[in-house]
This record gives sequence, C-alpha cells and structure tokens, in this order.
Amino acid sequence: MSSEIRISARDLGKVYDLHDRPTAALSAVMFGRHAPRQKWALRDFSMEARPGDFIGIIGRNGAGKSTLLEILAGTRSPSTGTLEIVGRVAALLELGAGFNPDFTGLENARLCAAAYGLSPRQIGEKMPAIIEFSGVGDFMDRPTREYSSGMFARLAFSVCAHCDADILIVDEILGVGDVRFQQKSMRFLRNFARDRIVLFVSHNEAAVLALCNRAFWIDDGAIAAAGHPKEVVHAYHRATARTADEGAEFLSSGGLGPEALPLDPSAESGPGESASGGSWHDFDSDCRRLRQGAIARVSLTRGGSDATMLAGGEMLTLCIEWSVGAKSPCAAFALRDPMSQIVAYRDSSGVFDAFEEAGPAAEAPESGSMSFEFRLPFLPSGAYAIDVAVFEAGSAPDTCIDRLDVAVSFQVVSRHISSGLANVPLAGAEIGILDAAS
Amino acid sequence: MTRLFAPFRPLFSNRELFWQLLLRDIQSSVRGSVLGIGWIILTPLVLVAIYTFVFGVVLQSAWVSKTDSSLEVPLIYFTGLMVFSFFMEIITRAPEYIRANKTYVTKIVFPVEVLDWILVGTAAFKLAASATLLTVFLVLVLGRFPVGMLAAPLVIAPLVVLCAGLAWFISAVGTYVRDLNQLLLAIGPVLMFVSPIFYSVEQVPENFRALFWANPLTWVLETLRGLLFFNQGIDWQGYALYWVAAIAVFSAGFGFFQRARTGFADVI
Repeated sequence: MSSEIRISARDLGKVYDLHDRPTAALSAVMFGRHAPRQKWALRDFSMEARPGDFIGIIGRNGAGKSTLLEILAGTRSPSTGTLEIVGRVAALLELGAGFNPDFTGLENARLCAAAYGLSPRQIGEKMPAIIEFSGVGDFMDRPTREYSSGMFARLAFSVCAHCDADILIVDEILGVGDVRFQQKSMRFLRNFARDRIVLFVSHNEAAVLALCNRAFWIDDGAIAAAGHPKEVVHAYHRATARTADEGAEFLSSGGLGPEALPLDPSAESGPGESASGGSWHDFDSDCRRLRQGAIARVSLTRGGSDATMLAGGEMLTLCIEWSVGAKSPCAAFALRDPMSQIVAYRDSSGVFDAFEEAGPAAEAPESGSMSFEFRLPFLPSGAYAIDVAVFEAGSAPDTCIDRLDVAVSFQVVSRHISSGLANVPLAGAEIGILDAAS
Repeated sequence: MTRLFAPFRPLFSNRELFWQLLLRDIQSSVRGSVLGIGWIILTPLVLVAIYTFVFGVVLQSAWVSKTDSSLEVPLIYFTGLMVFSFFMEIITRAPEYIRANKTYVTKIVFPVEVLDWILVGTAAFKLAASATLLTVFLVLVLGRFPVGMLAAPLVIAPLVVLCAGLAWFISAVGTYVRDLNQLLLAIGPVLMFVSPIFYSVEQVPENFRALFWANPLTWVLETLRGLLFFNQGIDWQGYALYWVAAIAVFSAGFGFFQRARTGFADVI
C-alpha cells in the first residue's frame, strides 16, 4: 500500500510563449504556432511520490516553484513531459481562491467544498468539523468581506483540510493566523502526510526541515538539488549565501551566556527522572476525550506572574486544574515548537501523588490539580505552545479524560542565535594556540 | 452521438457545484441591493414602458390596429425584449466571463466548462422569470390563459442550445482577445434594431427579408409572437432546421472551447 506510486512526473516542462499580440496566443493554442521568443519556466522535472511523502519545494522568487505546483495541481498544462496522478488532489494555491466577499463564510465554504468535489451530503457531514477547525464561530453567517485576514485564511485552510484529498498541494500559506491556528495547521499537515502526500512550497526553511522527508530545490526552472531536506536546504543556503552575501545571518550575534545559571546536573534530576521511557499519553494521536471540558484551568507562571515572553532557562510552573471525579488521575504535557513538533514531554509518572496517598478505597474527589515545575530549555525564537492532558492511570495512550491542545502559548525571544533545534548557553569560549613545537 | 453529449458530462458530474454557482451568479447581480431579486422583474418592466411609449404612441406601431386590446402591444414588445435580453446577456457577458472568474481557472482545480453553463443558466433564469411575468399579464389582459405559452419552451429550447454554443466560442476567444467585448457592446444596439422586436418581418421590404431570416433571433421572435398573440402555429420544417443549426453551433463551439482552454491559465 505505502509503496504505491501516486504521483509520477516525467520530464515535466513549461515554456511560456512571449507573444506580442493577443491573437498570437490564441493561434498558438489553436494551431500550435509558437512565438519567436520563449521562456522556459520549468524543465525536465521528474519525481515520484508515494503515500507518506511530505515534499518541500524551495527556491528563489521566480524560480518556477509556483508553475510546478500549478502543473501538479492540474490548473496549468505542461508543455512537455507526462504527469500521472492517482487520487484526489486538493490544491491550496491561494488562500480563499473562489471566495466571494459578498457571500457569507458558510456559503463560501459550501461552494469551495463543492469545487473540491464533495457531494451535498458529504458537505453537510463535514461542515461542523470545518467550522470547528476554522474557529470562525458566529462569523460563519457574516459576509467574508467582514473577516479579518486571519479568519479568512483559517476558513480557507479548514475547507481544504476537510475535503478527503489524497494529495494536498500548498503554496506558501504557512505563517498566517495566530499561534493556535499555526499549531493546528502544522499538526494537520503532519498527520495528513502519514498516509497521504503533501507537497508544499515554502520560504521557511525551518518548516521544510521540520516537516518534510524529501525536498527539491528549484533554481531557474530546473532541479538544483533533490533528496533529504537537510542536504537540500544546506545546498540552497550555501548558494544563496554566496550570491546575496547573507552569510552573516549564520554568524552568532548573541553574546556569551547571560547570567550564570545553576547548571548543576543533580538539580536537573527532579521527580520522575527514574521513570522508564515511553510516554503515557500520545499527544500526536487523535485522542478520545471521555469528558470534554473537564480541564478547568491551565496556567503557566514564572515567579507568580503569567509567562508570555521568555528567553530560556527560566523556572516555570505549569498548573493544571480539573473538575471531574477521577480515581487515580495522571497528567501530562507536551511542549511544541512553532512547527508543532513536540520538543519535550513530561507526565506525572513517579511524582508524589496525594490520590495514591489517600488509598484506593477513598471516594474519588470531584476535582484535582497538578503542577509541574520545570526549567524552560534554551530554544530558538518563536511561538511555542503547551498541550496538556488529564487521564486515568493505566489508560491507553490515545484515551484521556480531557486534553487541551494549545492550552497555553508563549513567545521565546532567544538571545543565543543559532541555527538548530536547541540553543546552548555558552559559559565561556576561547580560541587558543597549541604549542606545536612541544 | 457520444460527442454530442460531451458538453453535458461536466455539467452532470459537477451538478452540485453548478447549482451553487448558478445561485450565486443570480444572487450576486442583486446582492446588497434593497429590492434584491425584484430588479430582475423591474428592469424589463421599465424598458417595456419606454419602448411602448416610443413605438406604440409616438411612432404608431402597425400592431396597434391588429390587436384587440391596446394593452397587447406593450406585451408584444415585452415578448420580443425578453428573448432579445436573453440573447444579449449571454453575448455581452461571455467575452469577459472567464477572466472575471480568474481564480477558478488558475488557482483551483475546476471544470472550466461549467462556467459557460452558469452564464447560460443565469440568462435562462431571467428569461423564465420574464416569461412567468408575461403569462400573468396575458391572463389579466386577455382574461384567459394563453395556450400558446405552453408551446413557448419548445420554441425557446433550440435558442438556448444555440446561445450556449455561441457562449463557448465567444468566451474562449474573449479570454485571449479583449477587443471582442468592445465589439459586442458596440453592435448590441444595432442587433436590437435589426431584429424584429418592434416590428414584424412582414413589414421589411421583400429584398431584405432573406437577410433578416439569417438572424438567429428572427425565427424565434416571429414564431413566439404568432403563437402568443395571433393564434399561429409552429412551422415544423423551420423548427427542425433551426435545431440542426443550433446543434451544429453548439458542438463546434464546445470543440473550440475545449481546445482553447488549455491556454487559459497562461493568458489570464
């Protein structure tokens, strides 16, 4: 199943005739007469994709990325080569394409879903999920011209996400919407790519590195590099740094480590360090919530006040309160980076438990709370989110009492600029000369 | 035979999309206006009032003496105008229609053929609305149901097919060459006066008459008028001929459109 080729492109090419008169364009199509001046926007592009592929396409403006996506999406016909696609393609080439500002969100969503090929019955079934995912809420009944650009984008993405496509083609739309929606859409794309195909163009190399398993660098209409995202992005970097002198970006501009931090390893071994590997809850699963709304309050504080802007290294307190009877409740949280990847996961395994202390015979209390105290890792700048879950001890990783995705979010402004997944606070650095003579 | 039905296939497989877009197309012409759908009724009425005054009162149309009631003359004009408006709406909207729906061509995977069906559908809806209004007036003026109205859809049908064929041609060419829009706007009024809307073909001098029958609207206008007001029947030979011509234009238009559409995304 997973080895089945869904997209097979052979030597795709697109040449634009640069016609001087509009009638010439018509005669070119009708009689195959070509203009004396031509521009190749894409040439000799070949690729195959199977379910599970998350393919990133990078390159400079005007390199031919969008032309490629439009050909793959089927809105533009290739001049050369062949393209075979098995399955339904949903293309998000422009957010809100086909939306009419005078019509309501609901009407636009219905039409858009119909354009993606959904039947009226399917549209009716999916609409609640579309509205829920978009978070547009009561505004569904208002004309879309009254929408903020974020709402517009969210609705458009939401429709596209629910049209049961096998192949999703996305052109540079990441980066719209707020933290919550970004987290949601990233998570969606990642889940989608597990058994289907995502193709996307992005200028955000971090996103390509984080999400993709394959990448193409298109330069001047041709494949300049293809393969593992890391190698492709690296090759692209080197080339752009050479041509545009952007190398400076990669030099560390942050100073040495800030205040001396207590980096005593023994201080790090808090409760639960002895717990064996494997997590009690799987935050990447579509979990079954037994009692939605059970989590009453989640707060992230730093020294008593809400933490929204952080630098890394701070002691934080994450407090989860729930209001539902549970025999032996457990809690877990996951810290997600701007690409919605889980950076860290912790649960209440091995911590002191007032419930356990009370004994199994005791009546299940109506509410409870759990607080985690932890030191924020040194992370690159960006918007981070924390998911929390409360579940009964021993339940399956995809079942919980309640889970809140993006329960809290905060911004990290890192002073240690680096290009990696984590930052290392430098305590000191020195360049010395070794005496070669001795 | 399968080729003959090819233009209907995208329509059938995308019927949900077609209905939604058709509804939207009809609504969007009146969205935001206070009277809303009322404009579709009001606009032809205003036109008829003006033409009745000019041709019936000022210029003394020949029909005034031929009809029983003086109120029938405005209705004759109304009949002619509704058919003409149907034709004109398609002809004048078609050149820019693909461009106006640019995002459907370039940004989403969309059956572009459906767009022209919507164009025809909206015009047909307005025609049906006018015809209903006409029926109501006829009942009021004549005091009985106009039996000829039952045959009217039969007369209109080949015109719809013909107009759809013209729409394929015009919208395809208009997407590439923008002069077409200007040209059609310029010849629109001319077409109105060379079509027998305010007069009958019989009033045209003998030697020009053949030219008049070349106008695709002439046969429909004459037959419909005879049917509704002068108790005349349908000339079945002419009817068959009209269908043959309509189907020929329709198939050729679709073939042309299908060929030209591959380049749409590159020019808009």
